[in-house]
Amino acid sequence: MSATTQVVLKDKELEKIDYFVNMGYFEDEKALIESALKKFLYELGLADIRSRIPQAELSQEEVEAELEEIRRVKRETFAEEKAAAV
Amino acid sequence: MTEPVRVFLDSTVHLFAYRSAKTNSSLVLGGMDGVLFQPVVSYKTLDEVQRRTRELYGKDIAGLVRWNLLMLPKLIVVTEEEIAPLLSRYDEHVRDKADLPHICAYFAANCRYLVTSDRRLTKMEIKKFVNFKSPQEFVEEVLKTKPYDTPGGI
Repeated sequence: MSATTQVVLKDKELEKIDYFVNMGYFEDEKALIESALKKFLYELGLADIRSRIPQAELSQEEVEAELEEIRRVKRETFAEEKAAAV
Repeated sequence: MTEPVRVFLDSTVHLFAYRSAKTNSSLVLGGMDGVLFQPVVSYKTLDEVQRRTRELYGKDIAGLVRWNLLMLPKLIVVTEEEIAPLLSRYDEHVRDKADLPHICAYFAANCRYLVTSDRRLTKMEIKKFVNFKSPQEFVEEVLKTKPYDTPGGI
């Protein structure tokens, strides 16, 4: 996400939070609104990332190959942390 | 307000969701609203996702991905300190020891579901204690939404 987009989002987020706080909403509502805003930001970020990387519907073989790669990464991360802890 | 259901999301869910919007992994993440469903990851999950995205797309994208993942509503990140006391309790039930911290994070955060596309993990003895769901199963059975027809239900 570009720095400009982040600034715009931050302003909008603050505006919305100010509005609802000033309206006298209670804690539950504030929590709901904060969750909704975070979800909005998450999905915007997800869409932004997807626009920057190749999108593809994977075949069965590609899925299996990627799962093997993820298992390798998992094992490497685990081994490195274990070694660092010794 | 009732407490949201806690759902542990392993690295496969995040990684496949970035690859394509037309995945059940993407629908699972879309269901994590922080109100009905609360997402849970471990620090190791963050590291794995970042490491794999760095390999696939470079460090700039990996940085964005880490930032993005942390924006999940009401995300719980389970720490090593919370996991450590549980390791010996579940060790004998997990064949691949690299999976053990994730299983312990599921218990440490008191999760109701563990969503993963790794069928090898779901076949281990630990399945007696863990409520595993593939992304497709979670979409169908828990979110009650029509799933995508994807290889392995990713």
